[in-house]
Amino acid sequence: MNSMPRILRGQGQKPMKTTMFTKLKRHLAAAVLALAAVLSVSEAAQAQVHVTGPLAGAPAVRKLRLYRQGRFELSPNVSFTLLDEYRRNIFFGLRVNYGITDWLAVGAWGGIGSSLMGFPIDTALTGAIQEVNQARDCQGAGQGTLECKLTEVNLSSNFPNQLASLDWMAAPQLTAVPFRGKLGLFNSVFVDADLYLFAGAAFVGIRDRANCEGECTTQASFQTVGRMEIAPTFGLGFTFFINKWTAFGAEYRAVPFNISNAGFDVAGRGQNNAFPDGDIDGADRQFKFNQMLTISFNMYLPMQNKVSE
Amino acid sequence: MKHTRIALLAAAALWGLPAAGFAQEGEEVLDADAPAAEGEGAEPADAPAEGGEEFNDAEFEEKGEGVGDICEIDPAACPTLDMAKEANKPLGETIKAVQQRFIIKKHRFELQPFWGITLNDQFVGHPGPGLAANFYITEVMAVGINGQYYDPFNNESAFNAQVRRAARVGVPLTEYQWAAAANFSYMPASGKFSGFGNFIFHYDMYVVGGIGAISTRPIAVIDPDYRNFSYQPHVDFNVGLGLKIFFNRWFAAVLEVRDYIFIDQLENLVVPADPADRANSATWLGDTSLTNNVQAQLGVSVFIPFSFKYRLPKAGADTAGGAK
Repeated sequence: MNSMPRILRGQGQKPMKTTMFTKLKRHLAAAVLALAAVLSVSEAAQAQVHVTGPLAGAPAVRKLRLYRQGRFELSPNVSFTLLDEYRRNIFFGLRVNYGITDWLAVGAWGGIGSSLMGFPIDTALTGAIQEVNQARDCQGAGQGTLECKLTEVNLSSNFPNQLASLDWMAAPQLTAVPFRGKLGLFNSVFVDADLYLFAGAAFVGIRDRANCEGECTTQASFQTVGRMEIAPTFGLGFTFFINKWTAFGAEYRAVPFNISNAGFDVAGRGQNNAFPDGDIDGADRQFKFNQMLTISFNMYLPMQNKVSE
Repeated sequence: MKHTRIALLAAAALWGLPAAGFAQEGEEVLDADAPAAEGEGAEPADAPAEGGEEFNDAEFEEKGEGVGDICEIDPAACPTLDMAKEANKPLGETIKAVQQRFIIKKHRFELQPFWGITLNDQFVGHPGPGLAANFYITEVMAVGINGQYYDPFNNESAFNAQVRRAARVGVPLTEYQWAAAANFSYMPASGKFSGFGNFIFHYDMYVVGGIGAISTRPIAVIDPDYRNFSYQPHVDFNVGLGLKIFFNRWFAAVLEVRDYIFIDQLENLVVPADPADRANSATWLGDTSLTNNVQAQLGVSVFIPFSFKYRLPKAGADTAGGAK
C-alpha cells in the first residue's frame, strides 16, 4: 500500500488485471504443489518411526497430560481483522469449549466489534478519500461540478459514516486437536503445546449501507443499517500451556461472506453485472475473504487435568 | 534399587537406538544411516523413563541375559557390585523434554524453495517463487541468502479500479520485480508434536533478519497516457519468524512470515498541464514512502548432505539437574 491518494486525472483507469478467482486459483495451485511435495515424503517419514524393538506396539506418547478431555475451556480473547480496505475491526470476545475427548471439543466463539463499542478504526485510505471529498465540497460550492456528479451515488459528505462495520460475531464450532507436543524455548523453558483446527457457522452482525433504488444520491440514502449474515468459519490455532489449567493461544480465523465495505455502487449493470447501475443493492455486496488473528488467555476447568496411560 | 533398574532399562533402550543421537559434542561418532536401527527417534527412549515400567527379574533371568553369563564364561571378569551401595548413589539424571535432536543441522546446507504471498497490501498482490540457501554455523544459527521473483505475478486488486471509478480517487501503486537478501537466522525454540496420538514429528521455530535489495516501480495510474516506469532497486531490511516441520532428517515443510522494509518511490500525484512536461520523465516521480511488504512464505526445506553423523555425549556428561 502506498500513501496519499489524490484526485484521479484523465481516463487512466487500468483494467482489472486479474480477478479474485484467478488469484485464489494461483495460490491454491501453489498450496497443492507444496502439499503434494510434503505428502510424497510423509509415508517414508512415518515408516522411519516404526519401532521394531522391545517398544514395538507401545504408544507414541505415554503419560500424556489430557488438558481438554472432560474439561471446559474459557478463553477471553482479542481478534484483529486483516487486510482491511477502509475500516479495521477489533473483536473482544470469549471462546467456550467442552472437551468430549482430548482431541475433539464442541463450543462457540463470539465477540463484539470495536465499531459497536464506539471506536471505529479507519484506514489511511478512508482518511485520504474523505480529504479529497471534503475539498470537493459537493454539498456546497462544488455542487454540480463533474467530479461531484460522477461520485454523487458513492460519496456522502462524510465518507466514514457510510462505511461498513462488523458489529458482532457468534460462531458455534467444532474443534479438533490432531497435534499435541512440546516446545522448548532456548533449551531451558519447556511447555506443552497443541495445534488445533476448527470449523463452524458464523452469525455475523453487519452494518453497511442500506439498499436504495432510484434515489441513491440523497444524504439519507448513505445511512447504514444492521443485518445478519450467516457464513462458514474455519481456522487453526496454537495453544501453549502454562500450567495444568491456563494457557496462551494464537489463532487464525477466516469468515468469508459478501459485504459492501464502502457503500459504493460497483455493480448491477452490463456484462456480468460488472458496471454501476445507480442503485445500491445486493449486487454491490462483494465476496470478501474476511480474516482475523486472535490472541487468547485460556482457562481449563476443573483445574486438575487427567493423564493418559 | 528400583531407580537403578529403571536406569538400566533406560540405558538398554538408548543403546538400541543408533538412529537418534544427541547434538552435543562428544566422543563417540555414529552414522545416522547405519543399519540395525531398532527404534527411531527419541520418543521410544522417553517411554521407560516416563512410563516408569517395573523391571522384571524373572524374565531377565529366564532369557539368560544376566551378568551370570559373564561369570560362567570368565569368573575373573564377573562384576562384584555392592548393590546397596550402588542404589544409594544419587541418580541426578537429566531427562530433557526434547531428549535427542531429530536432526543435526550444524555444518549442513539448506535449500529452501518457497512461494510467497502478500499479507498486507490490499491494493497489489506480490506473490512469487523464491529460493533461500542457508549454512548452519551451529545447531541454532545459520547464515544465508534468499531471493524472490515477482515480475510476472504482480496482480492489481479489482478494488483499486472500483475506488478510482466510484470515488474518483487514485492511489499510487507499486509493483515488484525481484528481491534478494543476505540473512542471519536463529532458532530459539524447538519441539515435537504427536500427530493423532500415532506418529511424532519434530519442528523448530526461528527468527530471521537480513539486508538486501528489492527492485520496484510505480504502476502508472495517475497519468498512464504519458508515464511508463522502469524498475529501480532499493535497499531493504527484513525481519521474520518461521516454523519448520521435519518429515525426515533432510526434508521439512516451512512456513515463514517476513517483513521486507524499504523506502519506495511513488508516482507523482501532480500532472503538469503542459503536454511537454507530462512527457518529461523527470516529472513522473513524486514522494517516497516507507513500505512494509509483509509476506507469508510457504515452502520446503532440503538439508544437504542428506545424512549426518551423531555425536553421543561423553559418559557422565550433563547428569546434573532433574527432569525438564
